[in-house]
Parts: sequence; C-alpha cells; structure tokens
Amino acid sequence: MNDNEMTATVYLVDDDASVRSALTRALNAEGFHVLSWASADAFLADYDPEKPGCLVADVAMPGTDGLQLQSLLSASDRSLPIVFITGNANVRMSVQAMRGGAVTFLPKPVRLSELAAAVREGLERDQSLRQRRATRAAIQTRLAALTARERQVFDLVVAGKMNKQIAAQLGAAEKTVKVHRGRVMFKMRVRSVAELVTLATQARDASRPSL
Amino acid sequence: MPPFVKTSTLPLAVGAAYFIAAEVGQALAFPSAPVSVFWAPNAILMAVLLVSPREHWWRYLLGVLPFHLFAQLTDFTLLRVMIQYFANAGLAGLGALAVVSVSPAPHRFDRVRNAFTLVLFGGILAPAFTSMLMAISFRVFGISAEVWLTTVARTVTNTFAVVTLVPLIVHCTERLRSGQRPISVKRAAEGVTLALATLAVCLLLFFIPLDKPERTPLLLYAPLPLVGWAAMRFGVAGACAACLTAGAVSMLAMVNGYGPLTGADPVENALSLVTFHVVMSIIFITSAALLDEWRHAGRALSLSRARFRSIFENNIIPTAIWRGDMRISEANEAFLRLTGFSGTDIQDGKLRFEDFARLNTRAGSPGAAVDSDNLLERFDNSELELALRDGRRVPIILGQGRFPSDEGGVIYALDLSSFRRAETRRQRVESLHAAVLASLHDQVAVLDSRGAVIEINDSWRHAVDAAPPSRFDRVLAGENYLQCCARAAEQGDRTACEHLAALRALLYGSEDRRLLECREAGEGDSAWFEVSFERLRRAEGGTVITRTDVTSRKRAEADARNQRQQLTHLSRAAVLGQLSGAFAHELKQPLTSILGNAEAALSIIQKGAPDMVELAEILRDIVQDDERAAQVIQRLRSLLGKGETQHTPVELNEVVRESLELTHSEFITRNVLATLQLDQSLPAVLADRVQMQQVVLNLLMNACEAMVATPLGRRQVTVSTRFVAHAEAAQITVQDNGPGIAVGDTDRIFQPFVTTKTHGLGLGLAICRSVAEAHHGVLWAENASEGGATFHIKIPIAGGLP
Repeated sequence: MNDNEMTATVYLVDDDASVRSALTRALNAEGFHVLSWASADAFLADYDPEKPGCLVADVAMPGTDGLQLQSLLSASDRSLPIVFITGNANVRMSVQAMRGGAVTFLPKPVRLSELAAAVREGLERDQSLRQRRATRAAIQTRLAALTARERQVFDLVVAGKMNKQIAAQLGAAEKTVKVHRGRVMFKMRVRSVAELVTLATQARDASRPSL
Repeated sequence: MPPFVKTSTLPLAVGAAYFIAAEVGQALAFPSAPVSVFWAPNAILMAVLLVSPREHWWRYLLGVLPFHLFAQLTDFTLLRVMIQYFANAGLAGLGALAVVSVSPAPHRFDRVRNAFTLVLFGGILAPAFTSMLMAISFRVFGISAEVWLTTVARTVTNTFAVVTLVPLIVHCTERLRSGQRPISVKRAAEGVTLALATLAVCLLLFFIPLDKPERTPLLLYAPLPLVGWAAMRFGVAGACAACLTAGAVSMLAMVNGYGPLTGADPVENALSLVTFHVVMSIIFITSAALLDEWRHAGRALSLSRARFRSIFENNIIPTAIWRGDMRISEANEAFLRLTGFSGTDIQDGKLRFEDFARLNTRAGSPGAAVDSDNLLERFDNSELELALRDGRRVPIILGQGRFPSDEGGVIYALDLSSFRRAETRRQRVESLHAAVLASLHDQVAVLDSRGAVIEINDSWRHAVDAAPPSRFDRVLAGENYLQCCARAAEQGDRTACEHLAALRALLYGSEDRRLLECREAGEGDSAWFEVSFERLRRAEGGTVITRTDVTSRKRAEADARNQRQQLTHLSRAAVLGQLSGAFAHELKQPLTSILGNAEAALSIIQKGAPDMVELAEILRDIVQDDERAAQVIQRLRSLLGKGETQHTPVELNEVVRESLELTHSEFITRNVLATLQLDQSLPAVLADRVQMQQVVLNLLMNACEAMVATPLGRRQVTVSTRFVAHAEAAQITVQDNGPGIAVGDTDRIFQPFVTTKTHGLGLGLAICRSVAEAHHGVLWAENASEGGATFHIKIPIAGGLP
C-alpha cells in the first residue's frame, strides 16, 4: 500500500444498500478509503475531480446507469478510472465499458482480491494520469513562452527537419533559424533534439488516457 | 201474530161456516123428522179435514163444538145436541179417513177411483152408519121414536151434501193453494152463463105454485142438460156446483110449499126429492170424474207421444224403428245423415235393414249379409258394417230392442268411424312414441306421480340387465323407483340420497328439472352418468328420468383441464425464462453482499485483534442476505412448480409487489421505471396465487417489451389496484408508455399464436385470459388516452369458486 492509496478515495456507486455496505466493509478491510452513493446522479453531484480516486460502479441501476455515468463523466472532462461490477454481464455492455476506458468489468459476486486489485490498478492509473496531466501542463507552460516564430521552428524541428530545410521553408537565413532553435531548446529546457521530441509527444498524448 | 191466534184462526173460520150451514139446515128442516133436508155442516167439516193435515183434525173437530152448541141449544136439549154433535163429527171423520186411506193428498176427485171412494164411504156408508147410531140413541134417550125415518132422512140429505160439497170445496181450496194460472175470460164467461142459466131454470121451474096444472115431477129433469153441460165442460167441480144449485133450489122450493113433486105426504115428497138429487149427483159426478180421467189420459198420451218424438228425432244416435220383416218404418235425423237415405226412402217401407248391414270383416272385403232371423239375437251389441247409400262402408256398433207385445223394434247404429280413426291415430302415436323411446341411446324411465315406473326403454332395460345386483336403480316397469331410492338411502347410499331428493323435489315440489351427475364403478374405468329428472307434462303428473353416459365428455374435460394446466405452466416457465437474467441478478445481489461481507470478516480476522462487534454485524448482514437469496429461490420455485390449482385467499397488492420485486432487475436493465398505485382497502380474493402472479408478471414483461422503442427517460410502467364495489371484484391495471395496441387488435392479441413480438409463441395473453376466466374474471386491453397500452384484469372477490 503506498501513499496514493492512503490519500486516494474509492467511490462506490450501487443502488443495492446491502451490496454497498458489504463492499464498503470489504474495501475498508483492504485499507481503502471508501465513499458510497446509492445512485449515479447523487455521485455526480458530489464528485470533485481534483481529488484522486477510483470509481467502483454497478452497471444496472435505476435512473442513470453505470455506462451512462461513464459517458457523462468523460463528456464533462472529469473522467476517472472506473471498475464496473455487474450481476448481469453481457458482451455488449463490457465492450462499451472497456471502450469507454474502464479499468475492468467484474461480474457479481466479486471476489475481494479481484476487486482490490482492480481498484489498486484504477488508483495507479489515476495517479499516473494525474502525473501526466501535470507534466503536460508544465510543457504547455514552456510552449506558451515561445514566440510565434519559435513555435514554428519547434514544430518543424520536432517533425525532424534539418536547419537548412527549415530556413528554406520559413524563408529565413539558416543562421537565424539556428538562433531560434537555440532559444527553443533553452525555453523548453532540453539539451537534445531527442528530448524535445519526447516533450512534444508527451504534450500531444496527455489529453488521452494511456492504455 | 201469536202462534195460538194463527192456529186457532182456521178452526174459528171453519166453526163459523159450520154455524151458518147449521142455521141454513135448520131453516130447511124436514117436515116431521128431527133432521134437515139439506144439512151441509158435516160435508163442510169433512172437506176441511181432507184439505188439512191429519194431525190437525182434532182442532177442527173440537173447534166446531161450541158453534154446534150455539146453533142447536136454542131449540133442543143438551143431550140431543151432543148426540147430534158426535154423529156429525163421526160422519165427517169416518168419511175423511176413508178417502185419505185410498189416495194421498192432495185429494182430487176427478179420478174415478177417488170419486167412487168418496161417494161410497163418505157419501153413503159413513152417513148411514152414524145416522143409524144417532137414531138409535134418540130412541134410547126418548127423544124421537122414528128410527127408520130419521136414519134414512139423515143419510140421504148428508149423502147429497157430501157428494156435492166436498169435491167442490176441496177442488177450490187446492186450486187456490196450488196457485194455478187464472181462468181465461172466455171460460169465466161460460161458467157465469152456465151458473145463471142453471139458477134461472131451477127458479122458474121449481117455484111454480101448487095449483098450476103444468106442475109435474118430470120438471125435475129439466136442469139435467145444464148439469150435463157443467160436467162436460167444468169437470167434477162444475158438476158438483150444478147439482148443488139444482138440489138446493128444489129443496128450498119444496120446503116453502112449491116444487115439482105432487105427492100428498110431505115427508114422502122430501125423501123422494133428496133421493132423486142424490142419485143424479152421483151419476153426474162419477161421469164427470170419468170424463176428467179420459181427458187427462188423452193429454198424457199426447204429451208422452210428443216426448217420444222429441227424444227420437233429436237423438244424436242414429235410431230406426222397424216393423215386421225388418222393414224400417221410421228413422231419425241422425240415422238418415249416417246412411245417406232420405225420408222418402224410409216412408216407402222398401228399406230392409239386412239389405245394408254387413258383418264387419275389418279387412275391407264385403262381409256376409246379415241374416234377418238372427239379426237381433246374434248381433245385439256387436260390431257390424253399414253399406251406405253412396257405397261407402261405415263400422257401427248395433244396439236393438223389441217393442213389447208388438211386431217390430228399435235399432241403434252407433257410428264407430271417428272412434276407429281416433284409435288408429292413437295407435300410430303410441307406436311412434314406443319407437322413439326404443331408439334413444339414453336410458329412459317414465315414472307416475307415486314414483312407480310405468315405462322404460330398451337402453334402460339393457343397463339394468348389465348392472350389478347391488345397484339401487335396477328398477323395471311396475316397480317403484322412489321406494328403491328410499331403501338404498336408508342404507347410506349417497347417490340414492341425491336421487331421492331430486325425485321428491319433482314429484312433491314445484321443481321442473334437476340434473345429477354420478359416477358408477364399472369394470376397469368408472363411468360417468348424467341423470336428468324432468317433470312429465301431463295432468296426472310424473317424472321422466334420463340417464346419459357422459364418460367420454368427462374424460375430454379432464384432458382439457390437464392440457390447460400444462400450457399454463409452460407459459409461466417461458416468462421465467425471459426473466432468467433478472433472476440471476436478483440472486447475485445478496451473493455479492455475502461474499463481500465474508471476505471483509476474514480480512479483519487475519489482521488480528478483530473488533467483535463489527464481526457480529457482518455476520448478521450475511444471514440477512442469505435469507434474501433463499426468498428469491423460493419464489422461483413456487412459480416453476407444477402444482394443482389451489384457491386460497390472495392479497393482490402483495402479488403485485412481489411480481415487481421479481422483475426489479429486469426493469433496471431495461431502464424502465415502475410506479405503484395500490388500493390499500383491497380485500383478499379467492384465487390461485401462482396463477395470479403469472398474469401480473406476464403483463409487466409485455409492458417492458412494448417500450423497447420508447426514449430512455420515458419508459414507465404504472401498476394500480382498485376495488370495484358494484361488481364485488378486485382489479389490477398495468399501463405502459409504449406505442399502444394497433387499432382493432385489442381483442385479437388474446387469441393464441397471435404475437406482435419478433420471438415468442403468442400464448402468454391467451393463457392469462383463460386464467382470468377460470377465476370467473375478465382480462381486457385498451389504449390509454395519453398513449401506451393498458391491461386490466378483474377478478370477483369470490374468485374461482365453482
């Protein structure tokens, strides 16, 4: 159990009170901090995306069901790792859930070891997601410091163009391009082109959850 | 009026009449004998006795005594008067007794026999006897020595008075009493003329002075033609009146010194005169009686003839009279109508009965001619055949009678053709009835009003032959079904009890029909019979019992019931199959809780120093969830059970709630929201719980499936219950938000194998409806005004009670 697990919260959403209490108890016993809601709508009202955590949700619920909850979260850009549990699993449902980025799809009755593992994975995923988000934010900050010309040079360097090619494309002297390039490297706090390319990749990928 | 006044009025009147007559008699006293020439009191008394009941005679006999004394005592001694009284009373009494003993009241003297009795006993013997006794008494007591003269004189004068006065008085009294119709004016005029003529003739002829030369005894005969006229025209009463007038006037004349008699001795004259009148009046009165009798006999004969004619002519039985040689001399209307002959055929006397009477062969061929010699002896009261004038033949029954002391007799020919026709018709109807009865497959017995079997058909007979001897209803014609039932019922045969009750209700009650079903153990399978008791619609009453073998129908019914039950079960299983996912979910919920709790507990224990309070809580939850799972399984089991239909009190609200719990997961999966509107006052319904639940589940599932195309947020099912007070029924309504039922399909969807789903047999609703009907309820569908379909099921509170 790491620090993340200690601070992160497991959000449990299930319409069945006894299932809720049993799973809360079991996850508590595994050392998780658990908060539970009886419906998706109640959860949506309370959920703060700033707090790290993982969602354990029943698929079949009256009103907004688990899959709808998933799409609502991603639509409002508050997506977090979701572990689905269901008493009535079918392929269509699980495919939809996994495509929506669910951690896993566990059939009821669920073994605690499996649930705990899934929750752990969810929490890790949440943590890495949050880290990547932080990284991207830093890169974005650096990118924002570039001038328009420097940004052009950055894109072309990342695209693997030689200085000569860049100069020709921008209609500038090769020397000028070198100066811009040096500035870019400085502003982006990298030493090599390879590092620069990595940064660019991270900036692009941060918006997507890693698979 | 006091009774004694009433009873004494008549005797007083009679006494008064006696007194007056006595005074008159004394005025007409004999010249030298102690008697009167015309002594009417005795005759009056006799007439009164004759017209009054015998038990009242003493009143009149005693009643006249004071008047007699009053009339006589002024002139004579008491002894003489008393002797006279006894002689008078004796005369009247003896004469009346003689007449009464011969003929019953009322006494009519227009019969020769009665008139003769009166003349002989009342007119001659009684006066003679009493007169002789009186004369002897007079001699004994020294009142008068003239025995002979006294006797003769009193006898003849009384004879005259009795013979003329008694019939007259009796006749007039009876006529007054009987209230005969009044005399016609013509007859009255004739009577008055006759009376005046008689009186005039007598006065003129009998009051000729003594010295006139034309005075001659022959004048006495002068009134006789008038007397004859009176006797002819007015009968005995007329003769009496005329004789009386002639006698009285002549005697009055003689006593006053006139008269036709010219003898020197006045006594001789008086005796002769009275004797003459006695003889004349006897002759005329008896002749009048004879005449009356003849007249009467003539009237009676013509009346009798007219009656005979009427009887003969109007008789509806054809009647003919034959005279010698069987020639028909007379025939009545009916006979002519029957035979077709006319009156002239008969009048000619040519028709002989044997000419058209034939022996009845009944085969249609002409029978042998009837032999006239033997006709009457052989064929009286036997059936013959008449050949009619037009050649047709008619069966008749012949009756006959010979006239006494006469050649000839009467023939009655009763036409039998209508009887024959009726008999033929009856036979035809009877044979038809018998044939119908015999050809019936059902067993039929007809009972009279006392329960005795009067008719059975072949089927019944065969059934009785085949039945074991222990069976109570092995009853053949002539035996008493009611008694057989009663005997078997006493021994505890339940079927016999039912039969007995049914039969009594029909025979003694007002019931017209009763149906029983009974099972009879036979070889192998038992047989079912339907026994119908039907009132026999005729005045004498009775019952028809029909036994119909309904075994095959019963079997078919049982098969149908079984099939329906199996189908119901299959349909239930199909619904549960549809719900299997939901049920799995329903089970997995508690299983998930149990597993979660158990693993939490394990985890707690493994960490050491477990919190026992928490562990207990966990275990309690596990128990609870386990019970929940068991409950789900129990419900499934009961729904899947193949049990027989059982009617118990069922809370339909509970059934609805449970059904919604069973479909809970399915509803969630299908994003359907269920709303409940339960009538909390709904009474329990006598029904099969499982079948009720099946219907509700079916309707709920149909509602879900109907809303596949409905947008997610609008998928709603409303289940409501309510008590329908006026129908004493409970109603469940299931309403969905789907597209509703296509126009015209609200009834078709209940037909088997009709379905709107892509998969499914289309049996669900059909079976639901049959379940509703088995509970005497109804299931119907309609489209709600706000869209969606609505299904109602209405079950009577008494439910499926038979």
